[in-house]
Amino acid sequence: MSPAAGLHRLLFTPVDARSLGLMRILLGLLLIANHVELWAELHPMLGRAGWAPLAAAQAEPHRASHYDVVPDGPALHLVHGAGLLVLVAFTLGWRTRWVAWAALAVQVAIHHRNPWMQHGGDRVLRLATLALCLVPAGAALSLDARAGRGAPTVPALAHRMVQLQWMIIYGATGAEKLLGRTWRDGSALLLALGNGDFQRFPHRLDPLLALPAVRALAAGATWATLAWELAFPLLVLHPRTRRPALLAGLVVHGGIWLTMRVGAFTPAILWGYLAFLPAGALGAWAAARSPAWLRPPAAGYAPAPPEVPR
Amino acid sequence: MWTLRQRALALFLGWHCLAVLGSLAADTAPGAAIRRLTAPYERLLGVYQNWNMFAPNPPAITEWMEVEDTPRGGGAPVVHPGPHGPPSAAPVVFGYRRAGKFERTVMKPNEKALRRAIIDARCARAAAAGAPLARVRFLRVSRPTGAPPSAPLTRAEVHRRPCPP
Repeated sequence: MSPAAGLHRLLFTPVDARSLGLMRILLGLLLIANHVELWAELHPMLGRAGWAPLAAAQAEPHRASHYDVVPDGPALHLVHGAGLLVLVAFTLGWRTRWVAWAALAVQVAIHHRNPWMQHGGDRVLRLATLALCLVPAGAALSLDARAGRGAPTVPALAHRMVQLQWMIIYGATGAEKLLGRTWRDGSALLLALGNGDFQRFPHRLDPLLALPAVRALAAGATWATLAWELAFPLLVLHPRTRRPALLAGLVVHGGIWLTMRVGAFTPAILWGYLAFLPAGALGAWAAARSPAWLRPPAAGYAPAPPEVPR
Repeated sequence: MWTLRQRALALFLGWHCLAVLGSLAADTAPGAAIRRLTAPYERLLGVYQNWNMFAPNPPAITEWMEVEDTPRGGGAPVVHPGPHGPPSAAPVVFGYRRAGKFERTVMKPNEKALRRAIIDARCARAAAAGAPLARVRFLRVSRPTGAPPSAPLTRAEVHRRPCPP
């Protein structure tokens, strides 16, 4: 097989559209939750009289945000509400080809208005939305499919982009941590768990973290986390090691979520794991659980053909 | 067979990968050269790559910000909490306060321009309210990670700027 044919097969192999539909719905729900959560801090973080000076935001090049021109008060709520409607439309898969780009624009506008409050989870969500902009993300489990604009398969491009991006995230953060003294001497996890800026249950874990056995366990967990992050890009390449690598991720991120407040990062990063699962099985699972009004009429909808193995 | 759309998508993906590469290797000469080309794209879509969560080391302090306003024409300085203030002692099952992240960003050494802009806006608002300020200071309040809540706090000046007359 020529390199061009290999690349074509990698990026455009048809995969079950329902797996992408499930990914769109879950991503949409995450975007909605992230957007709604910001409401409590709308004026301090995005308002003109808030903490983030408009002049400083506008000093950055290559940016555009409709929040720049919105006055404080009800108008700001209205604009934020309009953004929420876009995200709801994306989740439901209504006119998804265009609405996916609009959903990305909503996120980017918030980022450009106040880049200083953004965390890694926001960035992961933008990258995920961008991946879904490039394919017919509304081909299944969507109002588009219900209206006859669906398809049984979609190109694997979004799945591949997410897979590649997630491999980069883990590889890059692992490499960066290798440079840190605390990751090498095993104290990083204790430092992270004991930091009041992130603790979900402030000071409740402190007595536990002081126990010698727990400290030894935490050192082992620090090195295991580092090794897993560094190995993740390789482990997910092979079907036999992919599942253990993803399960380890579930444990690590689940542990982080239980003990620390890191915003949308945990659910956003776990969302990407869906791209590593067999699309056919995932699609069938999703279709069996989706509400009837998101499914196309039975007639005229052919089941997805078998996937070409990766 | 490649369609025109597929070629365009593959080209875009190639461009995106180039941006990722430049972003991750921004500290090297080739990375910097790539970034000169790709930075506008990254900024426009907000897709720059920076994955240093708890890296190279998790922070060794719990920190928050205080703002000290000195009134014009005398009077004792007044200290206000930052947008977030001290971390809550109560468990937070759900919710994430972006003000905390904002505060930590404001106190970073490379965010001088942001601090200046915040202080200028604060001065202007105080003057408009008829209570002009002479000076504003940002203070970092911190305690070492793992220290009990009763541990003594350290206060250090992060930025000081006089208000324009």
